[in-house]
Amino acid sequence: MVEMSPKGIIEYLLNNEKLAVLATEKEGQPYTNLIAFATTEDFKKLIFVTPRFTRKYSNILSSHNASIMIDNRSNELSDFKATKVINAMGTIKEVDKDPILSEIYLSKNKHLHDFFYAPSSALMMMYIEKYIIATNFQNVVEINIDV
Amino acid sequence: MSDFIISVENISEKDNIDVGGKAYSMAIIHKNGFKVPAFFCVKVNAYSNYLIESGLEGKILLELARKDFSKMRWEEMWDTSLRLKNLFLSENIPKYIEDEIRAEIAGKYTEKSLVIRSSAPGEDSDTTSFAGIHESYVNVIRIQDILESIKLVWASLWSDAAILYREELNLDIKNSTMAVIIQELVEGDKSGIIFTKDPTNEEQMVLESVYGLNEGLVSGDIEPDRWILDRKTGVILQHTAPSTRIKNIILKEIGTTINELEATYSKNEPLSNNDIKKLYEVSISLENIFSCPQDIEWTMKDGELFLLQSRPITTLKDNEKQWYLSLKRTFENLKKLRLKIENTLIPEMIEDAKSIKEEHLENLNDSEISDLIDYRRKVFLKWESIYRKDFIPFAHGMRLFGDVYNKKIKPSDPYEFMHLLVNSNLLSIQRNRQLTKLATMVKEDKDLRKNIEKRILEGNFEKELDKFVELFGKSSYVQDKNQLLKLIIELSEKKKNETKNSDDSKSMEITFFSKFELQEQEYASELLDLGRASYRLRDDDNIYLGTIEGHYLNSLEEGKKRLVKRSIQKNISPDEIIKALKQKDYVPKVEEVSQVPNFSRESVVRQLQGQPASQGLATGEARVIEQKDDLFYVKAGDILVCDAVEPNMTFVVPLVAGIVERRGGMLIHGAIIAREYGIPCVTGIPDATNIINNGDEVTVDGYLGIVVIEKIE
Repeated sequence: MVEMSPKGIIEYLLNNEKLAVLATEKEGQPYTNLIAFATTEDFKKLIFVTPRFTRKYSNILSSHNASIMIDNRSNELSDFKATKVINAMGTIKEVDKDPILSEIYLSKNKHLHDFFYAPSSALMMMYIEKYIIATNFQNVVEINIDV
Repeated sequence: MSDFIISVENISEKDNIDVGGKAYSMAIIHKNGFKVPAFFCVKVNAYSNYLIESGLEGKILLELARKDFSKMRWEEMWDTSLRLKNLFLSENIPKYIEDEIRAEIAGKYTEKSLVIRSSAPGEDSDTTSFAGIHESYVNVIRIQDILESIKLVWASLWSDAAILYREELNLDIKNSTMAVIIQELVEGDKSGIIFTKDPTNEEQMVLESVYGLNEGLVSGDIEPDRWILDRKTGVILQHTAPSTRIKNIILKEIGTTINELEATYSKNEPLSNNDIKKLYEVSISLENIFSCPQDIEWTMKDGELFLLQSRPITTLKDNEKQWYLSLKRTFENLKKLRLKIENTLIPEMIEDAKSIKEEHLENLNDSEISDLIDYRRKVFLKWESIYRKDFIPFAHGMRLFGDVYNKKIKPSDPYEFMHLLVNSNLLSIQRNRQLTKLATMVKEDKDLRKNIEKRILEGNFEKELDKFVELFGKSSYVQDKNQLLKLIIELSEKKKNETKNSDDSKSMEITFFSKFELQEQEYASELLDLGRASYRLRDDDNIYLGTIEGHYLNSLEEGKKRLVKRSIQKNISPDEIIKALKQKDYVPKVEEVSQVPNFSRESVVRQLQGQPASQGLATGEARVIEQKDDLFYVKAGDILVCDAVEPNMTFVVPLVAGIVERRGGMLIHGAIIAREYGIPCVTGIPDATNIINNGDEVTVDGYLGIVVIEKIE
């Protein structure tokens, strides 16, 4: 496989992976769960949808700081060498379901149309401050994002 | 060269999987020199590409993830299939596939009446041959209707019947697929079916025939002539004529209709001896070609025989599944059933309910109570059986209307059609209005309230209360006046909660009718009327049945009380209660009480997914209904958590903020009444009453079908 640049890895994972792990926190207690995400063209913002009566939504309301992990592991031993992982770090806020964002989200997640538009679900946006890229088990690179 | 379609002449053995069982059989019949109507096949790769490009694959997966099939009730299967069908209707066929279909139609089938039929791989093999699982559409002419019908046939891969037979069909999103046959319609003057081997007698062959098209015979609307033949010789052993031969199925502009047969036809059987001989010979040939007994559909036009289908005979053995399949009725069948229900059954039911007169039970001796229980139980069981046989199938009227509405309107909400059926003056809503009137009297008069609390009833309130009892009687839930008064006081403390006024239903009605051609307007109007009757009766019949059940339970309770005085335990069967009341020395058998397993306390459930049965969002304190008396502890703003909301208990609905129900379905009473009052409701939550405790803070998300539980320690 051709060696990819850190930015290439970010682009590759954000475009190809469907699910990510979202980490939130409330009163010192971290909490993680799976989300179906999409990203803006400049990779500076990640969006996802959550019902409002969930722990993650409540956590985000009390603390906007969060982290999202996206990787391409396949649950094989070879993952230790081949898996690429990025961690997006930043702050998350609820945003309006405007036409541009709905196009971004639903072009990647067509099947979540009803979930996206349900009045009880919220569209959340992560404003990314930094990406941490891990490859080959222990190689780690950080990229700061200019806001 | 086409990638997605293939004509009958070009189908060979290697195409078997791509064209599905039915199309492949038809191609074999054609190759063996028999006449089959001209057809081409839209191959399974068209279905796969459509699914991926429209995003339907993911949507179907999400829909199927809502609940394990094995835990679904019949109604939930229909709901799942309705939602999936709507998804198919709302997505277009990719243009490159549509272009191939359009080109083939333009070349050979322009302006011709067509039949659009399913042909699933593996279907019609000798192990999986089921009639009535997937859909067919008859007499489709316009290209837009053809494309629409192809999508509906694809959607029928996920029909409720297919979900029911999922194990036999190996139904699975990854492997299940569907080809579609586009076939010229031969408007036969007589048609029929043949079972080359009678399932009840291996020596015989069964032949049935009707005038006109086959559709009436298959649906059961037209009674056929029936011949039993000797399988070895073809000799006619028996001929049974139908009770009348006065109707047949013919084509109308679009689709088919029932027609009055001319007298000359009704006097004569449709087949001559020569016809029967010809059909016998063809049957034996087909059996030899396919090496097993066949179930054959055929039609004859001007003496020429066309074979429409041939598949191995398989018999469906599961009675429950067969009962479910029998619920699906045709429009004509439902119209007849409606007359029977409205003109005969409901009046008889009301009469029976009246015949169970109010008795002062305390004045009766044990033997008289025993007779009374026995009589009331017989009446109740009689109506319970009629309920299953006639009333439940009539609920299909709503479903039939919903199917047509969704096909015509293509709404984003597959249950939008319900708005056109509501405000049908349900008995339960009339009863709730009367209760609200009583509650308003209490609210506006503090002295009246004080008197009621002391159980002093007088004046106008007493008159209105008596009127309520007279009109709605006792039910299986409300059995005494004290409970009723408690409920009225609670209602008087609640903010006004009226049913939703669907202002836009008139404009929806206009839109619905505008989708039909002038000559179809009468059909559309009758269909809407049928849907409304089905909606109304679905609720009303339960109210009447509940009244009869209420009287029966009331007498049973009195019987139990008498036995307790004789130190006889309560958990004995009604039969034993009747016996013990009759014979003073009789010691009844005690029934074993099954222990309900405790739900594991090690794990705490926080969120559950069900069906979004009524839109809205509400949070409140849970009130779990485990026995009938629990209903009278419901407070304004509570979340009602129950096994099933029955029409007889919907009087508490105006009080509650949301409903969580174990029983699943969108057209069940809980869902219907919740939508009437605009209360969020999630149905189909397994174990709801075990998982949720009284006092838990529960959020009902009626948009997404989610229930969030905050446990109260």
